Amino acid sequence: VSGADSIVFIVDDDPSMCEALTRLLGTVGLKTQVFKTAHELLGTKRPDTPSCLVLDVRLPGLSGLDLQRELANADPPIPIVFITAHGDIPMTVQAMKAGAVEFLTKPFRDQQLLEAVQQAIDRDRAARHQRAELAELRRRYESLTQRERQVMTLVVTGSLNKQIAAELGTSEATVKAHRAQLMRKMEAESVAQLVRIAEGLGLPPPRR
Amino acid sequence: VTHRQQSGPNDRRSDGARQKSDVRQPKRAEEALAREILNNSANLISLKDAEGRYLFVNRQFEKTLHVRQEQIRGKKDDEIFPPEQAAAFRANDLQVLHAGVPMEFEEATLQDDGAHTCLVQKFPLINAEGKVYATGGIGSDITERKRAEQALRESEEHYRLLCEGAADVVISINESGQLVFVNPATDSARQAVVRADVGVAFATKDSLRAILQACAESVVRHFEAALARIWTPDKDHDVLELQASAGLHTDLDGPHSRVPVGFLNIGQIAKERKRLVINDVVNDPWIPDKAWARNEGVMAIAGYPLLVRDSLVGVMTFFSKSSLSTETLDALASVADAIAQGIAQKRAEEAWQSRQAELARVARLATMAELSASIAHEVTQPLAAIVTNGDACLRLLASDRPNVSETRGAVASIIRDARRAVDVVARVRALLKKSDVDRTPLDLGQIVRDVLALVPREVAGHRIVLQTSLADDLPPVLGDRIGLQQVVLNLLTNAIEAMRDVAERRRELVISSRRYDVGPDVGVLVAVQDAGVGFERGSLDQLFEPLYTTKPDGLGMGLSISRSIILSHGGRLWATPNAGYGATFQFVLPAWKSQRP
Repeated sequence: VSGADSIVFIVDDDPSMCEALTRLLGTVGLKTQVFKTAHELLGTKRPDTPSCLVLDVRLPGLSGLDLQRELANADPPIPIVFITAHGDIPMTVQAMKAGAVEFLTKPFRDQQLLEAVQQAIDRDRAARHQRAELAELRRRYESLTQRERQVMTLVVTGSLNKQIAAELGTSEATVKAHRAQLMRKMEAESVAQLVRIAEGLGLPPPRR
Repeated sequence: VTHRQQSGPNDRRSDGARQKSDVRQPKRAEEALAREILNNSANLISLKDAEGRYLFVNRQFEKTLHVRQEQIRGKKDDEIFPPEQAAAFRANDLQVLHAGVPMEFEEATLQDDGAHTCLVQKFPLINAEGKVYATGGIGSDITERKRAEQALRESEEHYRLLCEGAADVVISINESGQLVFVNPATDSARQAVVRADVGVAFATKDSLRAILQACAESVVRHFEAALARIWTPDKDHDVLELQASAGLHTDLDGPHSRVPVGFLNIGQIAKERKRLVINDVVNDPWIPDKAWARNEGVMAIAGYPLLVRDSLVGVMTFFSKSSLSTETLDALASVADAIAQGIAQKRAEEAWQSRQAELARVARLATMAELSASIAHEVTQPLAAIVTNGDACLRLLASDRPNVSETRGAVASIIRDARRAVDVVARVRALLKKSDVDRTPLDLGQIVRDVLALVPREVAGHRIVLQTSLADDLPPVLGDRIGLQQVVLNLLTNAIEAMRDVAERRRELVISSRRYDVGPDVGVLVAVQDAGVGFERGSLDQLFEPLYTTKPDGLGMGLSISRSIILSHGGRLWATPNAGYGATFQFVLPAWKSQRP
């Protein structure tokens, strides 16, 4: 159903539940990795692939809600589907406010869990894609010289070559050369595309 | 005038002589007889004309004042007596002459042995024309009586001072039983006695009504009240409810059984929180039922707000057949204060008790909630795994080419988890049964005593009459102390709760322990017998079922848990309805055979 590269992490102290979840997720082609405690998960290097976490609230040691708090500051973040044998409303509200995808009470309907897991993985995939794009733009921007960055900043604010030359105290021809170079390095085919890239990078407007 | 006056009797006498000459002789005899009577009177008798000249004095007059008839006749007072006396005599005579009616005077005379006082009846003599022509005087010596009166007054004053200053109680009651005198020490003594009665009432009686009735009766007895009453405000402080009435009326359901705050004198006392004193009930404008007061002879009313730290806990009224002195009013205020303090303390105790009961109930519920949450979690885990494996199973089977080994694995897991759920249930039951590890030889009598020490407040609070019959020579049993304490406590609590609504008979609770041998087997029996609502024979089987309860707030776990504890000790627990009221719950445990390994 989803990409073969995705993986579902499961944290539940009950091995039977972990096994049953693995079997159920396996029927839709999802791979799982099982952890008995929150600490076990935190101590493991997770593979860099679209994934989500199916998390029991009641755990020995660090609870499910504690783990959610820990992971909120983690890099990369991971979407969470909570499962619990007895959840109350305040607990559910807390989990959902902190960004949980879903909060399911055991025993849950298989369709509910599978949909929640799929939604979580899609969310993670989109987030990963966004993060990768941004990283590439950063890499390109890093490759610019100081002068090229100055010229780029002025170009995206709509300055003409003549104005840029006057601003930087150089010739129009030199500005033209810098401009061609940075367009090539940033892999931008138009000024409009360059403006979007600058926005994505969150570049500061030129100082006046 | 003189002539006419003097001639009057003569005229009359001559008229009579003329008309009836045959009676002259008897008339003279009559005069002699009259003179004889006058002369033998112990009173001082005199006759004077309008000018104040003596016409006649009798022998007692002659003797007492040492004047002779011949000496005094025709003379005036100032010629015979000292000037001051004479002036006083003449002034009194003039009053009678002027008024023309008999009058009474006290006249002082100087005699051989000093000053005497005479009570003199002076009267006018009137002639045919209706004119006063002479005055007569009949005096009696009241010197002795005067002295006696003076002595009595002095003596009374003397004793009054003594009584009022005395620390002892002095009460004077007249022949009809009415109180005529009370010394201030009496008030402080009565105050002390009644305050002591109030203290005893609060310490020994349970219901506020009975306590306050005892207080009112003590007030009536010791302060000779016609009526004493005590009201307490209802929950919302809107209405005063009559709680006690002693004296003339003892009925609590009469017309003043509920008085709205602010209405009537009673309601005003509650509203304004000020003492009310009416010492002249019949003439007071604020007394609506004067006929009642008049008929019962009620003269004074005092009403006191019962206050504790500015909060009103009641009103006391006091009706008296005599007026109330400041000392009595202050003594009553002190009594009112004692009653107020008692009520406030009683109320605080009641609040504390109901809080304790509520706390115990909540604690029990919390324990149950915790236990059931824990059981629920333990059972839900395998059930959730079963459901998930079942779902996986269906999905696997729905595939075009079912993965047989994976499907078989799912079914195997389902069976395994179902067994696990059964194990959890068995573990919970084992938990209730308790294990053998904690078992020690125990004295069941001591366990009963330990539990009884925990519940005195429950017993007192529900007015339970507790009887114990605990044998001293009980063989020990092997068991879990806390578990068995729980059983005994549970049976006691059930018995107390079964009697909660019993009002028409004594709430008797009998707890007994004794040896109980069945054939060769030695055992110990503990029985808890109540006089409560009991149970129907038909419900006997249900009694020990979990979640069976007849109590509105009961959980229905107590007897079921108790029985499993007793069963786990190799004993048995059963219930029987009593011949009269209530039921008996009892259990038997086998005695510990120490010689056995």
